[in-house]
Amino acid sequence: MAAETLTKAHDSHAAVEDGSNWGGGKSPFNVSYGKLMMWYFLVSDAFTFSALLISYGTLRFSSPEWADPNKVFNAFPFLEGWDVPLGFVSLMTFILILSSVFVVRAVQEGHRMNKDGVLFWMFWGIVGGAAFLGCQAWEWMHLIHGGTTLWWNPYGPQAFGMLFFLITGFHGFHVFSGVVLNIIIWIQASQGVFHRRGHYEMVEKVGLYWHFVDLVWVFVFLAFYLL
Amino acid sequence: MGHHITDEQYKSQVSAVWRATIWLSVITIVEVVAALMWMNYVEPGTSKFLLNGFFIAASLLKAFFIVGEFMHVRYEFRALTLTILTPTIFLIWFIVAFLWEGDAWKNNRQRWDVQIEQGWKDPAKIEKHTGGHGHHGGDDHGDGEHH
Amino acid sequence: MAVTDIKLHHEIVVHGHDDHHDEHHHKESFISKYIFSQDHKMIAKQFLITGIFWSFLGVLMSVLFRLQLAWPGETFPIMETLLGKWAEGGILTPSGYYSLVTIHGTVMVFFVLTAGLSGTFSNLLIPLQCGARDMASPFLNMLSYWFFFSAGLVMFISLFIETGPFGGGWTAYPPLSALPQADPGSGAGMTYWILSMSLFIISSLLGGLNYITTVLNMRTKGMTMMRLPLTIWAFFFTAILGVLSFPVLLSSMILLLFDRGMGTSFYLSDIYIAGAPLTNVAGEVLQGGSPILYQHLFWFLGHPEVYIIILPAMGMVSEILATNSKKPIFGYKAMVLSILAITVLAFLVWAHHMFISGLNPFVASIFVLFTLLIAVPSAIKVFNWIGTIWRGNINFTPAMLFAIGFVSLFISGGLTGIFLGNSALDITLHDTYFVTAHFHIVMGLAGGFGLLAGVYHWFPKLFNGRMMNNTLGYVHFWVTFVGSYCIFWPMHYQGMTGVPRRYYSLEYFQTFDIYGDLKVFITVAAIIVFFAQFLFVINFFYSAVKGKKMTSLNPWNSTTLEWTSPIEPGHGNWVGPIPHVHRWAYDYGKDGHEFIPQTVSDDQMRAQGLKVTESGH
Repeated sequence: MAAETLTKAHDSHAAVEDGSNWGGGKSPFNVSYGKLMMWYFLVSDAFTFSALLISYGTLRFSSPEWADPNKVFNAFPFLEGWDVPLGFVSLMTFILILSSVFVVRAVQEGHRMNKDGVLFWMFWGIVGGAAFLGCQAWEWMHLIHGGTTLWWNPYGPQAFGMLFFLITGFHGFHVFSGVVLNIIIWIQASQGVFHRRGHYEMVEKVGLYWHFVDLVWVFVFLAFYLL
Repeated sequence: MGHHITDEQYKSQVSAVWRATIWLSVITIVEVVAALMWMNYVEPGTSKFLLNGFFIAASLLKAFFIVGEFMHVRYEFRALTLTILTPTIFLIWFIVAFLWEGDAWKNNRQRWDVQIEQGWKDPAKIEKHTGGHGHHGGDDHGDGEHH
Repeated sequence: MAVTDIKLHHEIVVHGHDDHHDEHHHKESFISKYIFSQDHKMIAKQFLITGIFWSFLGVLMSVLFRLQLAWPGETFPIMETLLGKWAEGGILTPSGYYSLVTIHGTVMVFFVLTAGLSGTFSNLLIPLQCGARDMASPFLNMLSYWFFFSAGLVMFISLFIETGPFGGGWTAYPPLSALPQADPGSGAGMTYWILSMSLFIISSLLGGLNYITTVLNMRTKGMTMMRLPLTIWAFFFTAILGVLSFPVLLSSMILLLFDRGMGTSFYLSDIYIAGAPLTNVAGEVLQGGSPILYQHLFWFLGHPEVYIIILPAMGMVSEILATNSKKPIFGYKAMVLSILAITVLAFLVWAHHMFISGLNPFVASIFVLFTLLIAVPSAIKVFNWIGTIWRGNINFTPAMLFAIGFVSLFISGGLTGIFLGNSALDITLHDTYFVTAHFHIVMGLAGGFGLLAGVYHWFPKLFNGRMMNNTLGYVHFWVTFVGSYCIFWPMHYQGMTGVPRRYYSLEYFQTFDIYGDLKVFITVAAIIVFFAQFLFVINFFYSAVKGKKMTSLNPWNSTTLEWTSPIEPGHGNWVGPIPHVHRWAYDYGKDGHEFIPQTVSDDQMRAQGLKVTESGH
């Protein structure tokens, strides 16, 4: 009996050592350390944004009144005097989604080792990001001209203006750094760096960051424009 | 990873991404339309509780598409997905406790009868803060004044 | 028995896989080897020595303000020599006192017990005990140290600026931290403080991401998660805590910076100075914010932070107790699960630091519930440590003494945590020395004892096989252990009678005159403990250069992987292939063997004719 138990136990050992992904000697998720670190960085950054958005919620809950987004965000470039509630921000959202899609396409082309495809789609991803930043600049300027600042606004309590500029600003800063990263990646790809390396994983990692920026926008949009 | 994929896999992946794009766009449009309909057709002062619940659910659905499809999580190992998503559980109590607190501060402020200055309702102040620039924006921010 | 084991250890050919070995054996310059090193062992030493520097400053500060507390109004020429205008005529000024307390807290919590503890030992042990050549990203690891170094540099500079360092407490509550005009230290000193903290957050993030990724991705073949030593489990969860909670501190710092520099009012509302409300640049009264928001955000980090301090100490203590008792750790799975439970609870209990802040009492009641739950995993750990050393064949090395000291301190400090976790009791105790005693014993001293235990135990792995002097170690332990209790135990009594903490001087309270001698006693004990640390510092630096070299690879007869690497491991840790792992980390006293290293398989033992019983590990 003892011998039987021994073999049995030994077999289970072998299974632990070779069969499972968690047996050591390789990644349990079949991903490189770089991608894993990018993922966990994004989880961490998600907590940065969560803290800001939750602070927004807390101050909003503590305020007896709040600004009505349909009244604040109702302007559109070149359409002076029109009342287009949420029109411009919908366009911005759409631009950011498309930009994200373009970068996914670049990643997919990278999997096929198609350098021209990566360059093409990455280029449009960068254009989308830059366009979003431009839109945000216009929106900010428009609000500031209308009297909305960090210190006062015509629509409601002080906290609305300061939280709006701080959080969209922090998001915009992320978009900006994402665009810069995308440009760096585009240049490296155009020089054939990744082709020589044999994989386009860098595009994938920077792509993750770029989608994360899009993800955050979903919740910024929710907090400031919808709720 | 630098693995090469077959044409078929490639095609299905590309179409999956465009499908997700359409979903994201449609959800956003529905959200905005819902907000506008609410503004135009629902009596002011009605509780937005259900509508806000819908907005939050729709946003979570959008997040699902972005994380699942764009960030490729649907195709990763289940264990990796879990390590990424589990920490977000901590956000639940983070949100509940903070908002509960915010609500309590509001009640405290009202109870202590701290006069919250309603300065933003005063039309004279708008002039002061825009410094005469208010009309160059060519916008219609007047709603705020007469609100 | 030990003879068999050593033979076992040396003669069995270790099977291994030889991916990317030998690639690290190029010649290194002085700068790449000692300064901008990417070797995790060198980075660990950098963290440790920087930590020792900061602990010297931090503890010295506490001695200075203890002098003020024991003998208020007395002149101490040394004080003027050290502090200049902050102690004109040898009497510490109130601003000087508050700055000392603040910087003492900040430095001890972040630079000594976070960077110095988890920075040092996560770096040293994660690759060595997991069986990896180095961290996942040695470059980011190096950056992690240099960001920490810069954070320290900025904090150090802030000690010398005209208006002095920040003096509003290590928690930096607004409005003291948000209004530059609130106090001399709230000006430039606070700006430096924020900058320093931001750099520290980046450092901790880079380190934490590396630790997590390395533990998950880089374990050697056969090293399943449930075979990891408890040290690695502890470092792993510590890193998770840091990665998830430090970003929240970053957010709170961003809001604070805006309040300070841009005139916003995230944390300020209806502030009246000399009867006039404070206004912003637009001439509006500051409104809408709340200082309690800052406290929530701060403690959302701050509470996990105390576990960031205690978990690595717990992990190392578990390892040291098992090794030196020559018994398997009692309840390995329960230990892992309790680390997990502590990690989860860490994110649910932050507001128990704020029971007297004006927190909604209904919210507080939930926080009381979560807080008291922490007693469960903590008690499991304590019982398991005692179970581990129970009837063990104990080898009382200095490391073992410090580990046992840790358990003692953790019990004494943990019990008062149950008092303070109840909001009803906390309301009376919170602003008294009771809290000072509680957190110093359970976090500061226990964390410090874990750190010292780790240094004594792993010193040969840090400094090329050299050992620390045992006699000095014993004297160091006993003076520190008895002295620490002498400092903090009496504070409980002070606190129970209501002696308020954070006060510059207590002379205005006649009631507390009864504690005149006790205050002096505490201060004298603090001075003795402070000077006892020089025994450690001398021992440390002397042994690093001239210490006795160990003769075998494995001086403590330990099972874990770091003791299979060469006495003077190069960058890459193992010459030749990385050893494979065949068993869990706690095969002590199994089948009559004193210890069986993780690298030895049952087959190898059978081949040598040694007795083997299979176990599930």
